[in-house]
Amino acid sequence: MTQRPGEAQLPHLFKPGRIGKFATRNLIKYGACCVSNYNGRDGTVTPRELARMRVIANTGCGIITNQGAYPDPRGEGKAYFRQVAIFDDRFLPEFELIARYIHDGGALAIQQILHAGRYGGIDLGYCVQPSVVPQTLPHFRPPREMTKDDIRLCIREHAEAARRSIKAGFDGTEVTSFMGYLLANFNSKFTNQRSDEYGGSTRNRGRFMRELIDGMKQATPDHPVIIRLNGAELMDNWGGNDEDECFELMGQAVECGVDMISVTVGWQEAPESSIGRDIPPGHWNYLAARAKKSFPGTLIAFGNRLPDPGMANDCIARGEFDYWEVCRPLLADPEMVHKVAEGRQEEVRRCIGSLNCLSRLFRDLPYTCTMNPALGHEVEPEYAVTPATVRKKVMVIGAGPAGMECALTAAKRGHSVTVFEKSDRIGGSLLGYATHDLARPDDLLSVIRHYEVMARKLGVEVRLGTEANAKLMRSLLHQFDACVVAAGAGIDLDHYDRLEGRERLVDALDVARGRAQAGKRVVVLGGGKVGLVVAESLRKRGAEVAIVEEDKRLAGDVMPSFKWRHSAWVEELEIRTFLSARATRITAEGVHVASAKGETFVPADTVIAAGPRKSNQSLFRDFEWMIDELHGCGDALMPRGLDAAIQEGYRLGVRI
Amino acid sequence: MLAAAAIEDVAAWQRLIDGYAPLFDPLADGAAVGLAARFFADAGGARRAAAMPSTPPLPMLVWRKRGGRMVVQAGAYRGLDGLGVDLVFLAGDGALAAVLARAEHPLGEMKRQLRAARIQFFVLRTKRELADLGYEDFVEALGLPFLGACR
Repeated sequence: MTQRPGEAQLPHLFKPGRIGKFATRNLIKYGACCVSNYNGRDGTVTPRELARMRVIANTGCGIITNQGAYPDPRGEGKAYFRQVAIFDDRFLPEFELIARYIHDGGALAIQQILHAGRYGGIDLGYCVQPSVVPQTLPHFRPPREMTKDDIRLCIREHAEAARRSIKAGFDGTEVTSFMGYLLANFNSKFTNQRSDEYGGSTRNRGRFMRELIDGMKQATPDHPVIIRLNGAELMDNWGGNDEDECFELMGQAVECGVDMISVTVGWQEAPESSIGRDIPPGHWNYLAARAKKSFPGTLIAFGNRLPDPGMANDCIARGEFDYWEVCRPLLADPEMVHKVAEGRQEEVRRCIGSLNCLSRLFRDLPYTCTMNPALGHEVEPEYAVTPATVRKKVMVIGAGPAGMECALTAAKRGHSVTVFEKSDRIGGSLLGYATHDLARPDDLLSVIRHYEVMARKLGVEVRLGTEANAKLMRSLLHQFDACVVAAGAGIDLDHYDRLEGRERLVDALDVARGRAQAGKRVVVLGGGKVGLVVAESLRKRGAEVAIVEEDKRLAGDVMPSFKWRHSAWVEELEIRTFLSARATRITAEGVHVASAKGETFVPADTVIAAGPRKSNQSLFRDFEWMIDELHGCGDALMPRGLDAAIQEGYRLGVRI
Repeated sequence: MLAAAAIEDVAAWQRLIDGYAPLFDPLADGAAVGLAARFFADAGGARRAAAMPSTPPLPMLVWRKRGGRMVVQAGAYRGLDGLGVDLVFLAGDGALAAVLARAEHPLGEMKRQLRAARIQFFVLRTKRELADLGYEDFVEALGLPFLGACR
C-alpha cells in the first residue's frame, strides 16, 4: 500500500507493529476507555452498539479494543447500566459480528473483560471487593468481602470469558484495573485489607492479578493477554498504592508473561483530575516512560491525556511507549487517524475534554460526545450526512457553534451556505468563554479553528461584520431558500429592571469579548457559567472579585464534570461569594447585597450583569414573511451551552 | 492537635453546627454524620477496629438531626460497620482543629481539608437514601462528589 503523506510525517506512529503472533498495521490502539451504555439491560449487544462498532472498526487503528464486558452471571462485575456481558455463549453471535467488523477494518481485535469490583453490582444491592471498605461515592453500592471461593470462581469466569472472546473471533483479550475496578481493588492497599494470602504485602496483593493472568493465558494460550494497570492511582492520600508499588505490581504482571501493559492513571474516586482538560497534554507521559524503561521486553501502551498524534509519534520515537492508546479523541472524530495519515490534520475535530461522556455514564445514560453529535446515533439514518435531494441556498445568522455546525453540515450535503456574523470573528459566545477559561483555552479555541478551516474547505462563505436585520433581508430578498437563526443569547438585562442603579451594570458578555473593561474591584451578579468564567478570569488577572448568586448554589447551569472545578477555582482564587442573595442597589462606590443574613455593602468599581440569559429571537418575527424556510437552533431557541449548540446545529444541518 | 482531642470538644462543634442551621434544615430526623480520627481507620484500621470489639470504644462525634436541630453528641467508633450514621469523616491530626479554629466559614476549611484528603469520608448509605434523607445541600457544601467524580 502506498504511504500516505501524513504517514511520512509521523513515521513512528504509522509503522507496523506486532503483538504475539499478530502483526498490526500501525502503532495505534483504540482503547476501551469507557463503555457506551448503548446495550440491553441484560447485557445483550444492541443494533445501536453494532452500528457504533462498525464506525470504530473503520477508524484505521492497528488494534481495536471492544468495550469491557462483565464476566459473571450475577452481575457483580457490571459497572454500567447497559454494559455488555460475556458470561454465556448466548452472547456470542454479536461478539462474532463485532470481531468481524474489526477484522474487516484491518485491525487486530481485542476483547476487554471488565469486572468493576468496587464500582460494580449496579443492578444489585451490593458490590464485591477484597475487603469491606465503604464507598466514597454514593453512586456505588455497599461492599461485600469476597471469600476465597468467590475469588476462585471469579478467576474461572474471567478465563471463560477470555476463551469465549477467542471463540467469537477476537485475537486477544484484555483485563482492566483502570479507574479502580476489581483488579485494582486487589492490587491497592486502600481497598485490599485482607489478612490472608491475597492481602498484606504487595506480593500478596498481586496474587489475584497473577492468578487471573495465569487463568486467562491457560484458557487462551495462543492469544495475547493485555492488562491495564495504574501507573498512578492518585489515591495515595487515602492509603492507596504509591507509584513505586504500582510499578512493582506491573513487574508481577510481566513475570506472568502478559503480552502488553496498558498504563493508566487514576481512580474514579481519586480527588485529583487525570483526564480533564485542566490537565495539560503529556502530563502523565512519565509513567509510560518509566514502564517502558522498567520492562523493556514488554509492550507498553499509553494514551491518558495524550490527545495529539504528533506528540504520540514523538513519544514512540523516544521509546517512551510502543502503542498510542487512544479512545476519546476517536469518539470526537472517528476519522482522525485517516485525516492524520492523509496529511489533513487541520481537519481533525479535537476532543476538548469536556467529559460529557463520563458525566452521562454516571447518570446511567448512554455516552454522547460534545464534539460528535452522530456518536450513538450511527444506527439512525436521520443522523447521517447524506446528499440533499434539493440543493438549497441557505443563510445562517450567527457564526457561533450552533450556526457553524449547521452551516458546515448543510454544506457537506451539497447546499450553498452563507453565514452572516455581526462581529469580526467566528465563534460567538464560545470565543469569550474560551478566552477566559481557566482549564485550557486552547481546547475550546480549537473548536473555533476547526470551524474556520472547514468553512474554507467546504466553501462556506462567512460574512463577518454583517449584522442580519430586516434591512439586510430586504436587500437579499429571494436570494436564499432557507434561513437559520443561530443568533445565540445575551444577558437578560430586563432581569435587573427593579435594581436601583442598573444603568451602572456592565454586560458580562461584553467583558468576555473585550468590548468592555472591568476595574480592580468587581462584583459579578450571577454565579452560573458565564458569571463564574468572567469572575475567575478577572480574579486571576488581579482584580478583587465577589459573586452574588440568587440561587443557593453556584454553577447551576454548568456541566456536572466541571461543577467541582469551578467550586475549587472559586476557593483557590478566594473569590467572595454571596449565595441566596441579590443586589438591591448599585452606587458609584459599590453594591448593596441582601440575603437572609441581612444587607452587606460590597465596594466595587465595576458591577457585571451575568444573570439569566435571554435568547436572541427577534429575527424569527422579522423574517417570518420574508423567506421560504425559517429555522432556529442553539441558544437562540433557549440559552444552554456548547453541547446543545453543536448537537442542534448538526441535527438541523442534516435535515434542512 | 490530635484528631481525637478535637473530637472531644462537643460544645465547640455544636456552636459550629448551629452556625449552619439552614444547611441542615432539609435533613430528615435521625439523619446522622460521624467524625472519628483517621488513625483508627487508616491502613487497615477499619478492619482492626471491627475486629476489636473488646477494646475500649474510640471517641467519635455524631451530628444527629433531632427535633429539627442538628445535635452534636459524643459517640463510640468501632469500625466502619454498624456505626449507625449515614456519612463518616475520618480526620488526620490537626485537620479538625483547623476546622474549629477557622472563625469565618469553618465548613469551608473542612472542604479544603477534604480536598487535600486530610479528612477522608465514606458514605454508608446509597445515593437514593442520602437524597431521601436530604443530604444534597450538605454534600454539595462540602464539595463531595455526589454522583461520581467525572474527572
